[in-house]
Amino acid sequence: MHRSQVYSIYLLTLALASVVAFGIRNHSVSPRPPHASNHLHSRNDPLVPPLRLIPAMDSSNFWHDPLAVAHPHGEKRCASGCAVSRHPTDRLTPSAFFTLLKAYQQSPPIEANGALEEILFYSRQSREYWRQQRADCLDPMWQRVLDDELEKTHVLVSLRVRDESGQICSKLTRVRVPLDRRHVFQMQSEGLPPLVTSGTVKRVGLNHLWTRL
Amino acid sequence: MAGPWFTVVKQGADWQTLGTLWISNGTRDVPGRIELKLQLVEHNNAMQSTNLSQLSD
Repeated sequence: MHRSQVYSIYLLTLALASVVAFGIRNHSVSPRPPHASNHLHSRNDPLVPPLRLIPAMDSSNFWHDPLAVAHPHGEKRCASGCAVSRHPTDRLTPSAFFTLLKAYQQSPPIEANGALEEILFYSRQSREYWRQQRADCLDPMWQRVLDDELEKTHVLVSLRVRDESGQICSKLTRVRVPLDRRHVFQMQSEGLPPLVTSGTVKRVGLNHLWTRL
Repeated sequence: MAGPWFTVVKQGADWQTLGTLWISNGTRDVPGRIELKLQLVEHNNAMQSTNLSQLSD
């Protein structure tokens, strides 16, 4: 091969690489409307595009009172980086819910029914599957118990700090928060610096709630 | 700082003591205790609240 041919191949490769690099640089960001794209090509825009929040499918699941502020959670841990608050609920599959639903119908729908308590532990997940599989529960009485209990997605939290004489120094009265979500509570104090309290409530049975505060 | 406290309570029950702590107003320290009460509520009642956590499940 002549030296001129090698040089030509080198130049061609360089040109192709430049074209590819240009293409990657201009199309690697998320797609934009055509007019926005043209605008941004005209100058080097230093602004980061705003984060677009996608609302939850049933966002009313997460209502809370003003005295409670939700902490962000990731799939497996608190997104705030607080390692001690890691307490996710496992994923419930449709088939696992169906198995629980069959077991639930084998005994009376009361506290001693282990399948019922497990269904209630999965709370919102169970609620979604219950909407889809309700017809698989044949007895109206069993249906009604799940209808009523799976509506209970929130909890009223009351906290108080009392001194040795029994006097209340700080309190939080019936503040609504969703189950399974960590919240920070603004307690109302008298004669004390503001107290910061945070915690999560999970349902662990027909009448029992687990808390970390 | 106090806690964390882990506990299981019966919903709707009376006050339950979570633990003890020292309370200080900067000039005086006294022993105290923190108490908790929880009540389950339905989805529809919760929607009367005014805030929403912008979170997906």
